[in-house]
Amino acid sequence: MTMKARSSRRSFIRKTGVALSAPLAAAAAAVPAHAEAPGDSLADRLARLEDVNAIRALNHAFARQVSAGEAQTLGIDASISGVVASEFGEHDVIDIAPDRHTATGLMHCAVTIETAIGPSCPLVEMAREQGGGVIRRTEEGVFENVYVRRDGAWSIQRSTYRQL
Amino acid sequence: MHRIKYTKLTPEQITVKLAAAVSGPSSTSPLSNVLAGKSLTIVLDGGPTLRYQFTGSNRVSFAEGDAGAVLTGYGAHTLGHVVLFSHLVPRTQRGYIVVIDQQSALATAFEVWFSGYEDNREVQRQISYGYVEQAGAQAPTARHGITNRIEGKGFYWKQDNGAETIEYYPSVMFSNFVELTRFGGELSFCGPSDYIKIDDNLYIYSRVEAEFSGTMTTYVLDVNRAEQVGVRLGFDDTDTLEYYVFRGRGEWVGQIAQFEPFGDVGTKIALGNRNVPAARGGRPVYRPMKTNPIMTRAQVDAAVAQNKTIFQQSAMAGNKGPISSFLVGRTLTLRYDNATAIEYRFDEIQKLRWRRVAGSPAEASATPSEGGWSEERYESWESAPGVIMFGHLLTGAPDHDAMSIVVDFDNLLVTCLHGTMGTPYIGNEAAVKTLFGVVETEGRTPPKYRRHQFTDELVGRAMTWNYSPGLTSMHLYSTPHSLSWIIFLENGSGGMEWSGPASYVKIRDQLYLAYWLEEACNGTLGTILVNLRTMRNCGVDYSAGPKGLRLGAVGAHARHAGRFDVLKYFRPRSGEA
Repeated sequence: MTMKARSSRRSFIRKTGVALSAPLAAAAAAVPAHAEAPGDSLADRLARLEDVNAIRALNHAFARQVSAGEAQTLGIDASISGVVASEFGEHDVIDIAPDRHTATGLMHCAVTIETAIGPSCPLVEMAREQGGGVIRRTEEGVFENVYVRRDGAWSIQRSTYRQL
Repeated sequence: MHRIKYTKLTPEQITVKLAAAVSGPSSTSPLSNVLAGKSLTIVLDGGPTLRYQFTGSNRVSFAEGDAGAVLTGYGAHTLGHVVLFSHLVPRTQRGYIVVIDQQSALATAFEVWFSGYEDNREVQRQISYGYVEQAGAQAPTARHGITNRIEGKGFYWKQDNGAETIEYYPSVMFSNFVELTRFGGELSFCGPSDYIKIDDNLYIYSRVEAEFSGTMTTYVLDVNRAEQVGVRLGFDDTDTLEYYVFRGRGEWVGQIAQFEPFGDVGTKIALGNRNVPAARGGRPVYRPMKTNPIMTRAQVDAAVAQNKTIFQQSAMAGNKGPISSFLVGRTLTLRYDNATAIEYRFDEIQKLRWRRVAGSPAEASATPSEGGWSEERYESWESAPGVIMFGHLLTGAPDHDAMSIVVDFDNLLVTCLHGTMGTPYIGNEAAVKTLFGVVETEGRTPPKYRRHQFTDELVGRAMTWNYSPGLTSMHLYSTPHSLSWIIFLENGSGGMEWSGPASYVKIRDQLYLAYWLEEACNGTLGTILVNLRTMRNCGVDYSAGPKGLRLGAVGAHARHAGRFDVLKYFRPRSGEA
């Protein structure tokens, strides 16, 4: 794959992200016409679009799981207690590998970070009994995700968070 | 109540004790017959439908869901357009407390039961909201519901049976009550509580004396008229069943501040990252005796021998003031009225030496030293010009003693809160004595008669204390001899609460030395010098646990949260012998 082709595909995906709520056909129609390259048939492009949608749904599920307190089980920083994807996901970049077995993605979001108040003391322990004892702050950040597709289903293979 | 050893009643014992109660709750006031002759069907959201046929003022046929009807006793009282009634379910350890608004037909039902928690005597409750079915009428969509609109209020109550209490509602999930007649009104106690709004005047309040008798007190109160009707269900300190309905009258004693965002009326309890326990009737309950390790004296001695933490970083001191150098280079003797006298040399900003000296000035001049010098780490703060608070351990003392001392150098007065570790009940529970005295220092004559004094000027006042980012509690100086502390939920509502013995000493105008003991809890002794002009405190907390002995600094910023007008209820009574 040439850099140019890759770049054009990424551009397509960004635009798709903006038009996510529009009908699939409309989103496809919005893509500028260009010379068809190998792997760029309508079927290929639709398949990639389905991949992007599946990954985007995966991202939303990931955000919900983190917000439900499962950060540690997902292998990300346990201090992250909440993730809200940036509105409409317009800054997201999802890049599907040509073989459609792997993908990478940047998931821009607002992240809630909880830092335990310490050192612990009776008052802090009492606060923890009622779901407190932490300092919460919200920051803008991005998850750099690596996805893998197995048996037709995408999953997150690795997720790395960095503050913006 | 902290010291009563409530019997761990078995389910079988409870069954026997409840047998007589199916005749219905007793009542000092005549029972209401407002329900007599009526049939009611109460539809509860997500709960069983309750069907009643009231055949008199104390007999009812009751059916729950699809179950067959049973005859049982009940008792009812009305408050305005609201009726509250209660009954048990025969041959079970369950019952109901039902509140019906006769104008709106809305109903709230507390299903109550024993033997639902490891302490069988602790009454459990499940609250359901619904309505009374009315022939030909559409089911109402409105419901009663939890609220913070009653948070911050306080009442004095006198039930028709003579029981007097002061009850503070500084939280949306706990409350604070003072048993003026049952236990003499010295201390206040706390219990998990429900607050439900009927309308702007009428609310339902309910508490369970969790960790104590397990008794549940539920009532409807009219906040304008200061009247209540309610029911009390549980076993007292002699294991006698208390099951009665009551009427009561009271006085509104005040309203303290709420700290939720404007517009938040408390339709949800903001529990942060904590899930409500899934068990039926589950709710977060502060159970300090279960979350804090209870140690023997020998265990404490061994832990202290391993480790002492003295003025290390603490979340309780994130907002402490600067450590003072006022004492550095000074030599003085603090002579207390109990004949204890200690000579100090403050060598460095955090290092002092002390030794005991003879108990009276005459003796002191004859025998200047009773012991060698001991060295301690200390911290001190100048809360007001010339008023220094400092704290240190007395190394080698058999009870791991700690001293928390306030010295007024302008007036040469001193007050010491002398902490010792261990009580007859718990090895890692602190005890404290208040020592008044004078400062002897070269070239000045200390007062002979004047001393700092205990005061009740703080009683009824509530103050928030922000110790460090994210860690804020509210003190409610609930009686002249107790203090309760409330932890805020993440939306600023009052949350969990506990209470312990306390005392208050006036140092100067708007400057008070207070202690509180986290008794029947984690055993910590907290001592603070409260400056109402700077709205800051400084102080020392002292505790022991499996990790050893801890003496730490306390420092927080304050805000006024209001005041309850309650002093008159704590004055000595006459004619009750």
